[in-house]
Amino acid sequence: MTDRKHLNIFFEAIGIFTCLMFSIFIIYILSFYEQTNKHLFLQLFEVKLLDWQRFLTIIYGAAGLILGFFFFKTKNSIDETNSKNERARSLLELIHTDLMSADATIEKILNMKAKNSTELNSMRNDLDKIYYGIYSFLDCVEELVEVTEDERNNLVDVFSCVSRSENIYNISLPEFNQDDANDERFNYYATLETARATCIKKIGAL
Amino acid sequence: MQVLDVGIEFAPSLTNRDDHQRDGRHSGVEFRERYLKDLENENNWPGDAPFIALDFSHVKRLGPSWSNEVFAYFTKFANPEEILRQIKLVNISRVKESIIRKEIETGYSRK
Repeated sequence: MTDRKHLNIFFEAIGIFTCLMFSIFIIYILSFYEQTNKHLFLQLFEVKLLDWQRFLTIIYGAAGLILGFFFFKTKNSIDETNSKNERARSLLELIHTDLMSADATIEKILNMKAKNSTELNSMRNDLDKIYYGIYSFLDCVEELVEVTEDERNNLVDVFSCVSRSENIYNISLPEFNQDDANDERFNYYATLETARATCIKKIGAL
Repeated sequence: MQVLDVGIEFAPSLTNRDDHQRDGRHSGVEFRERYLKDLENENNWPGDAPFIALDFSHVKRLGPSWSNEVFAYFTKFANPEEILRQIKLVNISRVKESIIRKEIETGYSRK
């Protein structure tokens, strides 16, 4: 964040320098007109430059134009990168929020908060909605977020682990087994933490 | 080699493992028994040429349970690479491919 701020200040300084250089260049052009055409505008400002000053203004002017070109080109590209990173960051934050929302539902299931089968099924349907939402979302924004294969696998692992977990995802309320549920909770948290770490690391890197 | 547009010829939402999971529609078991029946014979593994190409361009949802039932089921006959050589994946997003690969690598979760 600080690096980006410094970079912006640097390019703004170049921008101001460029404007100054360009002004000097314009003065040179105007002074050239003064000698040939005696332009009214020049008479108002009474610009008179020596040869060595003219030589310097050509150099400054040319440097100003070149730097100005690079300034606008680089500034635009930095602005684009910043806005792209900002969008990617908010998308990753959404994925992270969804993972935590699914986690809250899983906690309810594992702590047997469902009063009956209907409520349990409704919780599992919520889980499906959240995870399929995350994957559809990831499918659409993958290139913007620039996830690597490992990062993608870390996010995919969570739902894979949940779908294998009989207590979380499959069996009915009477078949619920607390010992198995504890093992499943352990495996699930390992994958969730990896997925969360992936999101947080990526958000921090942007 | 047969090319199957999964999203059109079967269903665009592939989420259920079998008849018992959720609404039980378009399950992995149903798909496997309808289109991959020949691969359930051990003698057909490892095959010389790809058996089928599955086109996922019209698939909207792909779940790990469905993928496990369709692909990981064959881990008893072949390793992950051989499975994906026999069953080619076409027009599939990287996320969906990761889901399938993950399931094949982890193995079939039903006894």
